[in-house]
Amino acid sequence: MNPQDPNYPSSQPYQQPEPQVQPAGPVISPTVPGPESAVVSPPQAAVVGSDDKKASGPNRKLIIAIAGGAVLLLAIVVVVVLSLSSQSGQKKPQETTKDTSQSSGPTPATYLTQQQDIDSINQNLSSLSDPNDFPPDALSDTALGGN
Amino acid sequence: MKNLLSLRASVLLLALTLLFAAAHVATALALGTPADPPGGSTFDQRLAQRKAEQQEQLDDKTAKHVQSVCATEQSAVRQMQPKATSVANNRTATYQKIDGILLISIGQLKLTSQDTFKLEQNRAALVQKITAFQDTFANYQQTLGDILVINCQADPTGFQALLDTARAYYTQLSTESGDIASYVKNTIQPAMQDFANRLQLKSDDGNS
Repeated sequence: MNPQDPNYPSSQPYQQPEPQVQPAGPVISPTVPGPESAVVSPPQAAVVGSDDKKASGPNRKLIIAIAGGAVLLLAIVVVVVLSLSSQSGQKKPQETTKDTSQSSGPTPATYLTQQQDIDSINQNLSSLSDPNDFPPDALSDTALGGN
Repeated sequence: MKNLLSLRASVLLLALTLLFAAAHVATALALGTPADPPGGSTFDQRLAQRKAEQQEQLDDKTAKHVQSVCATEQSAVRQMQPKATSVANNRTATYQKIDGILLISIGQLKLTSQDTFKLEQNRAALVQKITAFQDTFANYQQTLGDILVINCQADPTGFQALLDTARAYYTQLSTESGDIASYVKNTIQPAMQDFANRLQLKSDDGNS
């Protein structure tokens, strides 16, 4: 091929290829979804429609549900904390009211306390003097019906 | 040679065990009380022990009589068991109350710088007596249980041995109970009264 030939390729002015203007938003292909759309996009029925309002509907409901649940959980936590703090507040006065006999400890012996101790031992002893507790013939043949 | 040595050692060990058991039973018989059965013993072991202790020799006539009445006696024992338990539990609770009063009293006396050594010894003796009573009652209850379990028609000698053992324990319980009461009345209470008198004298001296 001769360079003088007007059909020689380098003699023709170079034409810049037209820039392909891509849209700013993501391109949602109805047939071949990209890797991003595979993660984000809702089920295929929604994709086919390719309507933004329809796709964000369930997401919005989900967000509202999560927010509602969080608020409810927070309310429950607040109620529990308040009830626990009120209970501990009620217990505190009970702890401070101690039995005076415990706090005072053992008292030194006096004639009176000794006499009281002797009297209560006497009372306990008298309750043991029941002759029916150990009748002498309880296990005899006659008592057991063996003649 | 080694086998011969180990055989001799085994025989010696067995002989010592038998000797110890025989001595234990003989001591119990000499004291007139049944020996405590070993802990975790089986019914058969206890029955053999009671037979050895009581040395029952029933002639044919007596054996037949025991066989004819033993079921009725077993029934009577079954009925008296709850009352015996109740009596023993009440007594044990009362003994422990008395011991508690004594313990507090000793503490109070110590606070007034009294010499409580003798009273503490008395208390230790009381606790020992209470423990002995509880042990005897446990053995008594177990013997009553064995009386209910034994096939008295097949083994009248064993039944009679168990019944006599229960009677011995019952007598022992009554004796120990009376002993505790008299110990408290004749030893502990006078000692406490002595302290009370001393404290009264002390307070009189302080007032005058």
